[in-house]
Amino acid sequence: MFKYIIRRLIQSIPTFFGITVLAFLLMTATPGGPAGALSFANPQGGVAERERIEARLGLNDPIYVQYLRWLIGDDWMRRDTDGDGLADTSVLIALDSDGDGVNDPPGMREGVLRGDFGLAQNNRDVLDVLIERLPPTLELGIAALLIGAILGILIGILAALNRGGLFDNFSRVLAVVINAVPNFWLGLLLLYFLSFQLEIFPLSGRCATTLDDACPPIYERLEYMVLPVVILSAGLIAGYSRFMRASMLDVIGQDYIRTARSKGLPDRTIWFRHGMRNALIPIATFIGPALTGLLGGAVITEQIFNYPGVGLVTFQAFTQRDYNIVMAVTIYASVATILGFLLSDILYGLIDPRIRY
Amino acid sequence: MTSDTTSTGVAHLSGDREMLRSESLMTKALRRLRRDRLTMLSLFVLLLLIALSALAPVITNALGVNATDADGFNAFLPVCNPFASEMITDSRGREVVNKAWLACDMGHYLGTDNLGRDHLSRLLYAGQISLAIGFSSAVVTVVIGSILGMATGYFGGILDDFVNWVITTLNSVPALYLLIAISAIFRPSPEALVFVFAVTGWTGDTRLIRGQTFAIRDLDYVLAARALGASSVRIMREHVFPNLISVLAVSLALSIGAIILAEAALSFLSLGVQPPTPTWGNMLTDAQAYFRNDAFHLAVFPGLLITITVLCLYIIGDGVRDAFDPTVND
Repeated sequence: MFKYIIRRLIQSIPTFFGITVLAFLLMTATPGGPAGALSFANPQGGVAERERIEARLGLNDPIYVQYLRWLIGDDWMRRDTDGDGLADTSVLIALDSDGDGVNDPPGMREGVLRGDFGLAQNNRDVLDVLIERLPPTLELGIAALLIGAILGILIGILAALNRGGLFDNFSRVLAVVINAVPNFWLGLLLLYFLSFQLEIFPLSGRCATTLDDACPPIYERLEYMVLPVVILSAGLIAGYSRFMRASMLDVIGQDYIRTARSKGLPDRTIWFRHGMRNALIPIATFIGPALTGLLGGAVITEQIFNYPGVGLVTFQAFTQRDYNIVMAVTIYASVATILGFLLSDILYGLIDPRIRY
Repeated sequence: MTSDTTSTGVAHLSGDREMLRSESLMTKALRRLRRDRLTMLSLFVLLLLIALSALAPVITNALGVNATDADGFNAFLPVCNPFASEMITDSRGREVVNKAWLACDMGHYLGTDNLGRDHLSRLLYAGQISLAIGFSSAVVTVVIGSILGMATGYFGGILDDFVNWVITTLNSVPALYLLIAISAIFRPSPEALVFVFAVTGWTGDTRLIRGQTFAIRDLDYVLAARALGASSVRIMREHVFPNLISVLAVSLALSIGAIILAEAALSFLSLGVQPPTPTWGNMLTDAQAYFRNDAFHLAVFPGLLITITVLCLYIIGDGVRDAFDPTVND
């Protein structure tokens, strides 16, 4: 088992490497580039200022140098050995990149591999911004996952028990319809009827606006969570219920169920003790992707309900071209995905004794 | 008496011959599909939507409206109500023109949007864009998927490893993030959006086709064909591809649905097709603001059309899968 985990982790290194290349290329391919955004903030600078910023940011360096600077930092590229605040040795890049006759200050970037994602456009540390936005995302995600899994599994079992019956067909239709409805539109409809017309739930946000921008504990603002959680869990319910139904029917056809039946065990014992427990095993494969969705935030749902989580900050970063946040989020979400799949596989191995690595 | 015997004998013979000539899977599947009422109904609704969108210029001309003329005085007209009276008393007791009547009078049968443009004709033109993006992107992904999938599944080796690595990498980035990233950066036209969906969507189809090819490659009749000296290209064309048609058809239907949903979501976030070009997604962008303008109908129809289209596609996909399922007998 341990060996297997190590092997899987090693296998994910090339994938991670590919993701960093992808995120980096996406950013460099952008029209305008990072210097565009910076000189836009300081319009008096003119062309010369823009060129100086570009040189300082190292945007004139070859692309592999830029990639390395972003990935593992530039504190080793341009070093200050005598402590006068100016660099005196350098590898890969010039000592005086902006050409003003004075050596540049030493590199300060540590690179994303060492957790330095740089600064956001508002000069805050990207990592701080993301960590601050994690709790809202987690509270929505965990609630949606719990509700989605419990309801989905229950509906799936009932549908399997009632195969071909009214409830089975109803749950099938429900799942197909939920999959076909755009979830942002469902959100709009709920907002209109429940929040705007009937005023049962608030229209947006995580809690009532306060001066210090803080929210009370979760049990005092449940009404803000209801609609986003409904939207997020709808898709999960559809997925889990179909999957659970198929898994349950698969198990019920097995020989050991026939054995249990021939022993004269009551139906309830057969369905729940012998059937459900085994039917739940494949559900473990759902946990990985679900976890990923949970950590990555729900861009669309958080946007509709203006819920200040990772998803909302991601969306804002994309539209404002806040590159460091965009790249950080892309890497963060990708790592979550890789770990999610790994977790699924490990859980699967732990739960199902037939699987040995 | 004798003639009778002969005729029954002939009937028997011809009956036997019918039995001997085995029905191809395709014929059987098509017959099953024709009998599947739900699938046929979905196909009809889908074709109807396509026809209505394609005929948008004709229909709008016939109604005497068009999708682009803004009319500030008649913004946010409600859905036409043919039974409404011409004048109505408003909350302050004044006689005013009834907007539901005005909508009929001006030919705006589904009302007007925030700029006073005809909602129905915008929906039809939006359908052209949304459906075209969905269909063409899905065709591109399925073509890429079947070529790459067949090549990697059949030959394996380094190509397979490399393509698999690319797929794993792309799949590790949540699809929506990738879509948002690319379209936020490039602000795509409808044509560019097709490219974006192709770039992000080919992985699933490739994986699916690769797996199927992999299984078929090791079947006995492929071995037999190879023993007879058939080339790889011939085996892929004559023996592998025909077995993939049903899988491809199902995948195509599901992909179109998924891409229409994704396009709607992107355009809703105003990262997809940019106004004034209408799509069902970007017509919903400002829907929340319409609540206060008493124009909730503007938020209903685009979403309803997306839902109906995608629902039809999913049902068709399911129907095709069942029709081609060799384990089901009728």
